[in-house]
Amino acid sequence: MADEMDEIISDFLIETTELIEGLNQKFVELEADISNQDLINDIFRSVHTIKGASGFLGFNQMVELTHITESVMKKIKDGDLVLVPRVMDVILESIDMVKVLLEHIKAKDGIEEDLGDMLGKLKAVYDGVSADKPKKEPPPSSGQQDVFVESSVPDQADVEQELLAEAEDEGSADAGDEQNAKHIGELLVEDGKVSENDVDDALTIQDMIKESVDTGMVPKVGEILTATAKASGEEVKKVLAKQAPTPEKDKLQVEQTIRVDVERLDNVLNLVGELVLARNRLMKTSSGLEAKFTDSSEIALLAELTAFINLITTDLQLAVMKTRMQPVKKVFNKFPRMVRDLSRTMKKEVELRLSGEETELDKSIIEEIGDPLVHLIRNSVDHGIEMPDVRESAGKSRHGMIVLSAYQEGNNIVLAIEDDGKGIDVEVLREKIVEKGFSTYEELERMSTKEVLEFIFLPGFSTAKQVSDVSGRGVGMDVVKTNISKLNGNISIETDKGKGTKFLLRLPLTLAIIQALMVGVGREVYAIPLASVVETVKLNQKDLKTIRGKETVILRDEVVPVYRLARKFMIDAPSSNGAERVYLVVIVVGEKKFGMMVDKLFGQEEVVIKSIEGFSNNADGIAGATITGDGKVVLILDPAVMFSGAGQAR
Amino acid sequence: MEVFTATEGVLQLVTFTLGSEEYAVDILKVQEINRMTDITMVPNAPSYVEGVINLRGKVIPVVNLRKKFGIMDKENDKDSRIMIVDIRGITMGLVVDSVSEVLRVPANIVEPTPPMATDAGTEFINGIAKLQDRLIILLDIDKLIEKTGELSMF
Repeated sequence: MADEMDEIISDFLIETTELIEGLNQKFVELEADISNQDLINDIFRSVHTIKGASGFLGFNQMVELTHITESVMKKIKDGDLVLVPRVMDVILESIDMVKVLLEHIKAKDGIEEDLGDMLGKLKAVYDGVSADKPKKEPPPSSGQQDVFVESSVPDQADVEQELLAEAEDEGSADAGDEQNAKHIGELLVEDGKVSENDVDDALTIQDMIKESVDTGMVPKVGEILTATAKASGEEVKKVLAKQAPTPEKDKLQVEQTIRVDVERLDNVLNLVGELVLARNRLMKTSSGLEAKFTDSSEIALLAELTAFINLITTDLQLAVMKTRMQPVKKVFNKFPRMVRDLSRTMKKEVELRLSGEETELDKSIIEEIGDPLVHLIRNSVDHGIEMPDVRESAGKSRHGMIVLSAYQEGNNIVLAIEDDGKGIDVEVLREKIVEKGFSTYEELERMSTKEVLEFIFLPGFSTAKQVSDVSGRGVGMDVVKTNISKLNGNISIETDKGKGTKFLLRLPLTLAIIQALMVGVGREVYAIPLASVVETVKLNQKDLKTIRGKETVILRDEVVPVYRLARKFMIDAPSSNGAERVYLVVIVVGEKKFGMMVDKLFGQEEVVIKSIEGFSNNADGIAGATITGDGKVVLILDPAVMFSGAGQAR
Repeated sequence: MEVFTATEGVLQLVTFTLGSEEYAVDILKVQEINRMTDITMVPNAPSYVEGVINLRGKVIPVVNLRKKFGIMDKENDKDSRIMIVDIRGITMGLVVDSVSEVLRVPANIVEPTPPMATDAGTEFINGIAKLQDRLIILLDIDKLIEKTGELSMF
């Protein structure tokens, strides 16, 4: 368990560090382009993600800080606050503070930063009392800082700057010194001034105070010990002086695994592909030589080596493919703890059941589904499962149940999050949609329940009345939707009022490989994604009928329009000038069927989708390209684009 | 704007021929030079886009410079080469008649483009280097793709 926790925390650290790096850059971009809503949304989501993750790992200071930062961002997003450089300074400072807190978490030193000043500043920005100095209670352990606040001179800007400098100095000094310092409690015990029990008591008191006080004004352990007369003031001071930096502690080994840029893996995969092609040629040459010089021992050696290289190459290819597959367990593991903590904070009784953790998915997909799942599970706990009493009066068990499962369904992996909570009230949802101005009653009237439920995934849509730490800012669901569609997946909701809600995420097994039908037109070869192919038919030209100038064919009493690929692509091929026998690939786009006429069918193949450098996608129905066994490039067609209105007009 | 790498007033160029003329591009723009391979045609692309090729697992577009510059087309032969260049971050191939050499020329022999001097549209030309008995047209290949980026390619 401890190991698992470490792994979760190290994941959190890596992710958050990445997010913060990104944030710094985004803020700089934003400063240049203040009205960029997309960027603001992006930043808002990042902060939200950090808050969410710290929340369930119990890093309270982080939550405090990011919560208010998020609130400020929200105001900016809504246009209630203008992003002047001064506001930006404060936000950036808070991001820096998040970094400091991260360092503490990394060092596992349990040190709490004094956030009072930072929170005050953020609050001031949030309240719009920007010109005034932060309105906050001076911390009880009054230090130099307070002198500055109280000796407020007319020139307030100056004071503020000094305050800033002061806070910065203190912050960096704290971070530097305390990280390597022993805890005051430990030192006191070592000196025999107090017993371990006393320190524990003091720590408990500190925790209690922490919980009741909102900001970071928590008395130091030493102060509590003095106050509870366990140690005298002098003793504490003496030992405090001794609390000098100690040699660097062994830091938590953050990385148990290496996170590798998917691009690099792709690169390796590409190189292996090239190697395979080279091997094929080598084998051909080698067997040619073998046939020619049957009695040469050197050639026999060459053949042996070639066979060996063949073996290695095959293994290497498999190994590289395998590096990209990981069990979903990796993501699922962090949820039981999260659900437990969430249900405790919300005083709900929730049990999480996992199934199908061994299901394997492509690495890039595994990496991307974490966030959406966090959001969905949080939603289920927060909005889905009712309070125990409510459940009881509704005739359910006090215990809510969330089932998180993964299973394979054809070429897809399905992830399902199912709760037995109150379900989504579609009527309330309708009202909310109209109230938020997303649609009108008349429009909603014509929509199916499924379509109405789709509104949940729009940016800025949240049905929660109260903003909580957990969810309800209306950023979650649209993030989920965006992330899932980025992976070529889709998400659907099934809900039954009073009985529960089920979210189904359908994801492709891997991002890069699809089944395709290889067809030939003239001398060209094209790949058609098999997913959209219904059937293939051998055809005689005389079977074609012309209806209103358009060629059609009647297949089992169904009229199917025919398009000649050769004409569309302006290729000189038998099928474009009336050859006797041609083939028809019947494709379905949406609900409609189309026939695509080709010269030859080569059969089904697994192809790796590659994008074409500098190619603006989806022009003229080309979805991308793939490289066949002999190293040639074959274009992959995109039937959806080809047979949409624009494609047909040609 | 200095688009050619000039070290102490010396330009390093890769020269190639198109028809009867000699052209040159900055050596740093050239990634490699390959023999002709199978080029897969891209339907409905502009005529000067020859198609796409497989460059070690990467699919890149290939532009026929003769067609781009409006020089009469000719069959590819054993001297034909695909010059792999990097244009604003996009790797692409340029089909040329032949690649001659790597040349170092002093920057001060480069003269501005005389109006209407060559077959290539003058907007792609950066200047003309005059060597003893040769005239070399310096191409600004970044201009092959217009400012709007990749979109104008296809």
